[in-house]
Amino acid sequence: MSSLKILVVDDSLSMRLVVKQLLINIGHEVIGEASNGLEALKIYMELKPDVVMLDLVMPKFDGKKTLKKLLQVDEAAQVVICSSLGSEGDIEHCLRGGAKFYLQKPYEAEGIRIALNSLSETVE
Amino acid sequence: MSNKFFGQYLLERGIISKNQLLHTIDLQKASHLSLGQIAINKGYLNAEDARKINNQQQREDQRFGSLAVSMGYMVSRQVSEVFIIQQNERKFFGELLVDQAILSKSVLIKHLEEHSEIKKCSALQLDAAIYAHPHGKLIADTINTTVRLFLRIIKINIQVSELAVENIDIGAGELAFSQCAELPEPIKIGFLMKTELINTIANSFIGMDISDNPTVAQDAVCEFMNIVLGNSLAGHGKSTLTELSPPVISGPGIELQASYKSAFNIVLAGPDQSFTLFLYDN
Repeated sequence: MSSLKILVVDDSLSMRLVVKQLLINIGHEVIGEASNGLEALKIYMELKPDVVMLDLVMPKFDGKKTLKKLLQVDEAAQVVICSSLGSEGDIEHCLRGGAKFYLQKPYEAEGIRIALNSLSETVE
Repeated sequence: MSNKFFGQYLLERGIISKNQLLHTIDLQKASHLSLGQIAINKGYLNAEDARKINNQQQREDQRFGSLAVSMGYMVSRQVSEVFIIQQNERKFFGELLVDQAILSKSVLIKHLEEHSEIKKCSALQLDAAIYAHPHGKLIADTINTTVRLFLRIIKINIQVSELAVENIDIGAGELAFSQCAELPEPIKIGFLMKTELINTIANSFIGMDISDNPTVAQDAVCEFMNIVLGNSLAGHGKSTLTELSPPVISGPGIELQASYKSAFNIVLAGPDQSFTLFLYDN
């Protein structure tokens, strides 16, 4: 798989550090970081990343709202949810809402690799 | 249940795709008829009776079957019968994957065994006081998840040490990390710990020594707690969305209980450090 340009969105600086390192280790490039949804939307429009790794529990503008907004501004946006939340309701809501994949924290590099490889799948 | 939903477990391992997961959830929902619908199908209720029972359920915290009997619409034998029909007709997620030929039976069994083995690892003998609490399941799930993730991420084996006194204040050299979950009433859950343990958690979580940067260390503990609580809440309100607020850090001299009425605090201890897991509700 070729290297992807990725925007990492998480309010936790430490989680961004961890995810960034995992992504670099498997050959991808983190071109931007955001700590809330509003920042993410702004950076997305500027940098047009291939993939957004999006947290759900965030202040100001949470991940569910951000997912909706991202897909409104770019229906082809490829969003992978990376959240501590893992109820069937949350997973279903995000996947039906247009997210391409759902990773529940904590996850390993293998989870990210599977998520990014799945992006070529046909979406409903 | 403190572990991942079986469908999410399979998705993350690349065993099923997003579309297979969503389609199987649809099939599972379609296979799960409500007690009211089954009772209507059996001729024990009409739609209007079922609606009245459902309305009453909105006002009382009672099961559909109990209300159907107490309101005089059904007898106990009929409730038992429709309950058995519901259980028998309900399809499990894995079973539906086999029905669709997504997994073979043997592969399903292998993954179910691995999934349940992960659950067994988080099993913990809990004090009767925990079960007696109105939020006993949430407390038990949070303790199980905390123990499991401490071992997996922080590499520290911790266990329940004691129930703490009801009101705890944040002392010198301590910080409280908390989040509010809407279940549906607000419940504050969090950790109270000393700087030494904060640094231990942060260093393991990030994978480098960041003891000289307290802001990043505290952020790492917030994120670790967020992961613990997100995982703990996965089994609560299966079909509903989880409402978990962003983490909050409180410093010395602040009373943790604040606007909440009752407290439940428990001390968890590792080989040389302990901390308090607290839960405050109304």
